[in-house]
Amino acid sequence: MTGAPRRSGPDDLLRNRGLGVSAATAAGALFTLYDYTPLNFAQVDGRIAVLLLVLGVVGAAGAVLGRGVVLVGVGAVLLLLAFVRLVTYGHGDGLIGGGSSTAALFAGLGLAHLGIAVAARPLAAAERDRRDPG
Amino acid sequence: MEHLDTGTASRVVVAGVRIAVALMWIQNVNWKRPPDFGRDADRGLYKFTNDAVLHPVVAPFSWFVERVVLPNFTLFGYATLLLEFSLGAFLLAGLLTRLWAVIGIVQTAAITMSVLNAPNEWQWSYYLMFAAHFVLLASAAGRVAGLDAILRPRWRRSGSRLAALALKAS
Repeated sequence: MTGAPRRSGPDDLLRNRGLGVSAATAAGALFTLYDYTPLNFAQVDGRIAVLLLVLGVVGAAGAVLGRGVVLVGVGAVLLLLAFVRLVTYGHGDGLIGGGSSTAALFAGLGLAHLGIAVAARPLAAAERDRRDPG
Repeated sequence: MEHLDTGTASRVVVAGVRIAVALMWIQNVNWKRPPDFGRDADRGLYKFTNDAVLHPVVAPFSWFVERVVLPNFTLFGYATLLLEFSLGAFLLAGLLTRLWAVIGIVQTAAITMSVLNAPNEWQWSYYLMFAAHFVLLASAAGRVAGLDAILRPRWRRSGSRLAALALKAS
């Protein structure tokens, strides 16, 4: 074995972090499996669980393929859903159901998707400049 | 002087504490329910806010709640909803974590001054909330498995005023 350190570039960042946050998004669907109040951190019903699973799979596909734009899309959808649920909270079920805890969960996951895509993009540009300064 | 342990186990625990605190805010934002926030039925956020007047902890805070907060309760309710929603979201993503840890400490102080003397309250709940937020602040917990970890190098290289502020807040 050599002692050479393994370099991690923007593609690794997008893939590893993107897969992690996509897995967390899909795992959010697990909140629908039990009705035990002390551990019911966010209100997730069947509709929201399906939504989280779909967004998690799409985000994971984007991460594996190295497509930051997919993570931006998933993040934007999550932030939009969070905003809609937050402003309609207290006025019925709204478009997707859930509560303000659901909205906060969406917003946190949405920020994470967008942040990873943003962090990967300028790194990629900087690396290209170094490889091809002309 | 001995240095703090920064090994894998310590980093995992710091990230876990951040996510746990985020989930605490996320779960508890749910019962801050508009549009009346419990005022009509004397429950929920209104009841706990009113405890600051019925069971005073710090006299000037009780005066402030009675004269300023309760007469403008709808505005206060929406501000609380937005604040705790943001605390949950930003701490979960690990974005600007030190700033949100400070905001969490301030919000914990407001909650403590409202309900510490109310019946059936366990005072250590609030002391532990303070402790958890101080841990996030001191350890800059967003730098482990959070957005701060991957955005700080960008901000450091940017040189803009906004990036400098983000560095301080993370």
